[in-house]
Amino acid sequence: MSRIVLATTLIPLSIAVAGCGGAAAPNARLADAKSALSAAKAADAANVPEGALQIKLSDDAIRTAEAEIQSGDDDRAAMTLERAKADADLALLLARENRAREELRQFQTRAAEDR
Amino acid sequence: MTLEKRSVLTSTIAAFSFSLVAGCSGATNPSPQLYDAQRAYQRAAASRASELAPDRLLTARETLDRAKAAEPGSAEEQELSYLASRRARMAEVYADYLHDNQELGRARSLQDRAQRERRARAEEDLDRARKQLVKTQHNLAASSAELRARTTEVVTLESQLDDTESKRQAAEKRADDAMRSLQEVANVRAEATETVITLSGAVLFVTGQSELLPIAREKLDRVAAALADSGDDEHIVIAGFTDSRGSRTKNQKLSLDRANAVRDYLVSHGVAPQRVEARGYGPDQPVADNSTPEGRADNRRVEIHIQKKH
Repeated sequence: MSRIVLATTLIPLSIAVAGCGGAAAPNARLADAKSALSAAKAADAANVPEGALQIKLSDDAIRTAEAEIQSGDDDRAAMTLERAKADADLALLLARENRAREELRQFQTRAAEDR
Repeated sequence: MTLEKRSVLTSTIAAFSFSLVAGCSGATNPSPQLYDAQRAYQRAAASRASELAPDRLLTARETLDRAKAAEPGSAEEQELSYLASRRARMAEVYADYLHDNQELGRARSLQDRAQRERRARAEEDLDRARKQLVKTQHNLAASSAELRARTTEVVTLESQLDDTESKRQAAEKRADDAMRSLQEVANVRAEATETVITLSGAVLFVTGQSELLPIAREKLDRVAAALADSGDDEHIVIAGFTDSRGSRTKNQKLSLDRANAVRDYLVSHGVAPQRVEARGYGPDQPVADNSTPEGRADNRRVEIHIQKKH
């Protein structure tokens, strides 16, 4: 957490003073974001309405970040990737919550039938 | 608190960088994303997240604070707001997830407990049913034994009844035989209230005597046999009669002596003495005409009255 705080305090400084460059390895962040998105898709997040939206947002953000990395805008890419990862993480949570709720509902239905 | 210090530090640095590069960013109004982020955070803070996912809520809070500290309208403010929104939503969703799992856990353990109770009750019922079965089997065995005992009793009683019936029939047959045999040697007359056996005086006694002739015994044996098999409640009157010739007093005495002679013989041959009474009627109650020898012979007689007492 302190790392994030530090990074977010450094970024405005670097933008203000140097303009561009000097962010942490973008490819590592890209890999993180991509694996988060895979996890969300594997958990069937697309079947939850809000999850489907989040997956799309994450997907788009990753593509944008890739373009930014290509054009050397690592700082920009870093922020885009942070967003992409947050969207993917939320999608995953939505998928899990949906499954848990479904499990609970099925259990309660079966229990009512058995009575 | 460290949190406060960090926020202050961020704000200071941001303000500093803003003053350094006043010309780089132009906008001064806060971006709409910040407003959205505030709302998203408030919603999350009011939900289960504050109880079940406080850490994640805190992360969202910190992100929101950094967003607020950023230069209004800047790309940084926008990005941080976006992240804050997502993190606030994640706190909410995660709290719901935890809540669902808790509920499922509770529901499962309730179900398990209910199942255990049902099983325990079923076992109790089974146990009770088994005990009842054992009791019923004992009762059944006892009833069977009782039934067997009763059946044996019935068989015994039935055979006793057959026995009694046989004896009764035998006695009846003996009585009938005795009567038939008697009828060969005597006049037997059945009337409404009594049976009368008439024996001629000539075959029983020497003329004018009251001593029994030897041949009388054979006849009187048959009479005794017939009387032995008849009912105990019958009263027997032995009546002696004479003809009208001679002294009345003498005839009276003779008739009584003869009646007693017959009585004594019968009593000594099995007839109960208390049943038998001897009477002398002398010349009274003639049955024939005393003016002829045959008539007089008929009047000289002994009558045995078997009186039915019911």
